Amino acid sequence: MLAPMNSNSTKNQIFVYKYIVRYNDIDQFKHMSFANYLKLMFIVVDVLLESKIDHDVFRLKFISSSMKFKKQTILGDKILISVEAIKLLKTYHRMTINFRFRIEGSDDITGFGSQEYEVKSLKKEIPPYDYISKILEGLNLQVTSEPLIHD
Amino acid sequence: MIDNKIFYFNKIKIFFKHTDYFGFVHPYNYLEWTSYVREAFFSEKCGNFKEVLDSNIKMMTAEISSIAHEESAFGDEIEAQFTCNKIKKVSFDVHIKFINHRINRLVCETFHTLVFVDAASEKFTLIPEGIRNAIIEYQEP
Repeated sequence: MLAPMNSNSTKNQIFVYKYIVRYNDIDQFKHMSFANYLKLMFIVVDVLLESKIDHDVFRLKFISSSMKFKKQTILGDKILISVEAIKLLKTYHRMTINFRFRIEGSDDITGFGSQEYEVKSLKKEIPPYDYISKILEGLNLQVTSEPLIHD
Repeated sequence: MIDNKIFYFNKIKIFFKHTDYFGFVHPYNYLEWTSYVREAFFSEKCGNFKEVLDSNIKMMTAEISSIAHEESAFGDEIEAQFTCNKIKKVSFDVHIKFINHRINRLVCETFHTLVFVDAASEKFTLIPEGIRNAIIEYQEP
């Protein structure tokens, strides 16, 4: 079960990043190594958010990451990484992002991931919550303050 | 008697390629180093590890997490400390702490669960004896 949808969420989009498993992703066992999956979460955050942030004003500081693996991937697999939900807490300046990894075509789930960041303003006059929530609003992504859970 | 040993991996030094936009170590690196540390442990401490690699037994990461505590920067030297816990029949957990020598603090720790699968039957299989004998000595109290 995902985080509850906003009742006025007709505009909400789902962000999906597609990645094709390459030779230098796989090891001698012919599967993509676990570290590369976590690298993909960082890449998705970079593509989704970091490119829109003014780094003289704002920083996403990494706090934690976790991933559960369901199925391995091999060379040539097309992995779809979707941002399932984003939780933003005003009080603690924290943002949690949940990801789902699945294989294009078969739709097999390869895993579920989650990352937590501290949203840090580098200029005191700019509240971090306001800054990041404006960016997320511009992306039409579902944002909640409710707890996030995976299937 | 359980020894509660710690396996130390002291070969991590921070270079430019490890740093991010703000000059700190990108957290991804600790995940990559996690794989180095565990492979170093298995190679050094589990005498028949290469036989396991050549066998039908697959060692798979079922889940992993990492927690950042402090920042590290270019030139820092990091020591990794490997221990195990929750040793069961077909799986065990690995806990790796990354200590920054410059500030003498824990900068990151990772936790992951390894499971063993028979590639032929695709069923869980017992932890190979050489690995089990090694990890028991490095079990957390």
